[in-house]
Amino acid sequence: MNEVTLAIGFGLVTSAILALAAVGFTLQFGVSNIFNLAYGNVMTLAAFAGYAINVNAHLNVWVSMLAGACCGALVSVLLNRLVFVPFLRRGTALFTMVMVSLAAAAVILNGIEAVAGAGFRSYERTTVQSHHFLGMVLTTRQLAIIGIAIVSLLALHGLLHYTRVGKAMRATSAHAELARSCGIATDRVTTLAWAVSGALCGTAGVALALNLATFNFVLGNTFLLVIVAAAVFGSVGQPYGAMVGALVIGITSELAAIVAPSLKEVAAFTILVLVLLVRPNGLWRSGYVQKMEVSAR
Amino acid sequence: MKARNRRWRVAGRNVVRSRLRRLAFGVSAGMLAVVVAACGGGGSGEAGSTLNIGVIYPFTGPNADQGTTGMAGCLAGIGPVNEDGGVLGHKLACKPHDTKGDPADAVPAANQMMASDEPVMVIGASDDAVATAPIVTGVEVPNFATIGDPHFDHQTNPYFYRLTPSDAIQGTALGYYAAENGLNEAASVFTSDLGAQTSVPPLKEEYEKLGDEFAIELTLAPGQSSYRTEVAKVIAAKPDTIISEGDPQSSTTFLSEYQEQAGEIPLMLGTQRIANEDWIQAVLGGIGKAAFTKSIKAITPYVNTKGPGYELYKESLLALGSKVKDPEEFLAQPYSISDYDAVNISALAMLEANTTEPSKYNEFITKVTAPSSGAKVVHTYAEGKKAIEAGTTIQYVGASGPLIFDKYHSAKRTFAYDEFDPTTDEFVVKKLIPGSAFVE
Repeated sequence: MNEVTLAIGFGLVTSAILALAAVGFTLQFGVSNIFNLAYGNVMTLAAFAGYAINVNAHLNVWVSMLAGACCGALVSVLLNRLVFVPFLRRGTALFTMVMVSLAAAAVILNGIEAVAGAGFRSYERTTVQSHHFLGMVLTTRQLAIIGIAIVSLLALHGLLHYTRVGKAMRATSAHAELARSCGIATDRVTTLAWAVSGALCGTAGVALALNLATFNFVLGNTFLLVIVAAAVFGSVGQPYGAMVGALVIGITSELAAIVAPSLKEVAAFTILVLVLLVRPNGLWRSGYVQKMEVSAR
Repeated sequence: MKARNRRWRVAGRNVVRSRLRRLAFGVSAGMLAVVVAACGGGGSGEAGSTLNIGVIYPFTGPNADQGTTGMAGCLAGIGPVNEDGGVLGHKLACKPHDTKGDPADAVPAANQMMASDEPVMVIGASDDAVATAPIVTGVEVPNFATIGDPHFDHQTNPYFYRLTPSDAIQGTALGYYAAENGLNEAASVFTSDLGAQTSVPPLKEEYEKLGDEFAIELTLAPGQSSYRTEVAKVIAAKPDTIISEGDPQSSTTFLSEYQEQAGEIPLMLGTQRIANEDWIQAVLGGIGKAAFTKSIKAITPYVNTKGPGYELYKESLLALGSKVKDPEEFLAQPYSISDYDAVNISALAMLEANTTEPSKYNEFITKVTAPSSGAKVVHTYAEGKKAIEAGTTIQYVGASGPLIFDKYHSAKRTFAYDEFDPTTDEFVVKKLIPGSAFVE
């Protein structure tokens, strides 16, 4: 079997999880101008919530994923309302906000460790069937993860483009003050955006834990760098850019593993640097620069 | 120390960076040691006072189990000593200090330990020993570390002792066992962190020396979200066994994906790393108990859990009650047992030297552990104390068997082939690797 085709198939699974996470991350930045470094830890919290549902309540992993999404949404909204918004109201600088998010990340990380310990956990194991097609080999669970990612991202696309609230989110993201002066309740829209991005974050957390087969309290933290890379690749603040970034990084890293596993991240980050050299603001046309011009709310 | 190392983390990914950090920490640690020495370290204490034993390991973070393991050994060690009246009228106490598994935190932790506790001996650290040992030994306090890094194979610091075998010996043991048991198409799959990589050259050398060649050699980048492409490569090479070391997360992901793609996992020979509770817990959850029991085997430093020295360790450990969470988990834990022995060795060395002054009793450490004609073999502190008081030369053979330090202060240990017992969720010794395997 062609190892390149195999690697592309495997890369799609990685990309699916990465896309869920990166789109959520970039959406938060889009509406709030917050580079949320606590994002990975919210993923971890969601994975633990899903685990509790799966192992303690004996519900299947897909219900657990739903629980993880709810947990991610709730925690993200609370994080924004209780931690970030008070700072933003004081006009805190962008860099300081990064440090605030770093502090929040440390609190959540250590909080999880204090409660759950450092031990590893696994979702309940189920027999998985492999499917061969187009030279790729994917299990039912991996196909389901890819499917969930596609459905989630299509739903997000629908929300952003075909609903009033979605248009309000885009308006808030583009220019919050202008949106507010047009009568958009930007506070509520922002909260909703955090809920949506948190749900994506939670879904990604559970999907990642399933993909890894085991996880502990550092789950999301370990993968934050790649998530941020995918978001930066596609221009921070641009959900579609993040999707493309996730696809490129996910597939590139698997293809690089054919040559040498140690090149996985090297290849992905080299492409990221090269893209940023040519397009300093990322692959998508508008994004970070435009966001920088928007004053903090 | 390989088994408790958790070297899969970022620090181990870049050898060059790691070495530079080592150098930097070594220099800074040495400078700090001079400062601490000026203030006076390693207190011997006034008559009747309590003597502190510094236990320096990660107590928080992903490697937190190292701390509990070290404390279990130390507390089990001081129990019988204190019951027997202490050492020269002094009771012993174990003082934990947290390195957090990071040299940047280990250095201030070691400085604080030396300044605040003035320990008469120090147990630990593991990987962080690179940063902590210069601080401890810089003030002439004996330091019993559990680091397998071959860089310590020829160290000459008189106050530094290594309780665990070098990773190089681990690699040789793996290669020897595989080659001698007809596993002649093995896949070598190790993560790229320094802790895992130190076993690879001696493994390869031994395996090839015995006439075999690896079907595939793969170095995994630790902490990836998937190893499916790497797994496909290994499966394509059709190995009869996988010889491997990796952190719990990476190993679980790799093995579960192997199971998904190939249907089953071939025999996997692992290092002492895989006998650790966190590794077992992670991989067990990822591949299931049946596959784990069938496929996962370990080559680990041998601990005789039946000797007279071990019996007292077991009794003392189980008597700790709530002082240690789940003490029975440490019954067969080679590092708790080694740390227990370290306490006894130091205590006996103090008796032999008739002083608790670290710089003075240090030279007696090798004397109470070395075999010699006419030496009385003692298995406990009480036996040793009695013999010393009677003016007899002793050789301490403790819970982990003879701990004979070579001229580089590394304890010589043999290795064993272990299989997983699904009823106790622990590895049990099945076969000893003959000493001839390690003769160059």
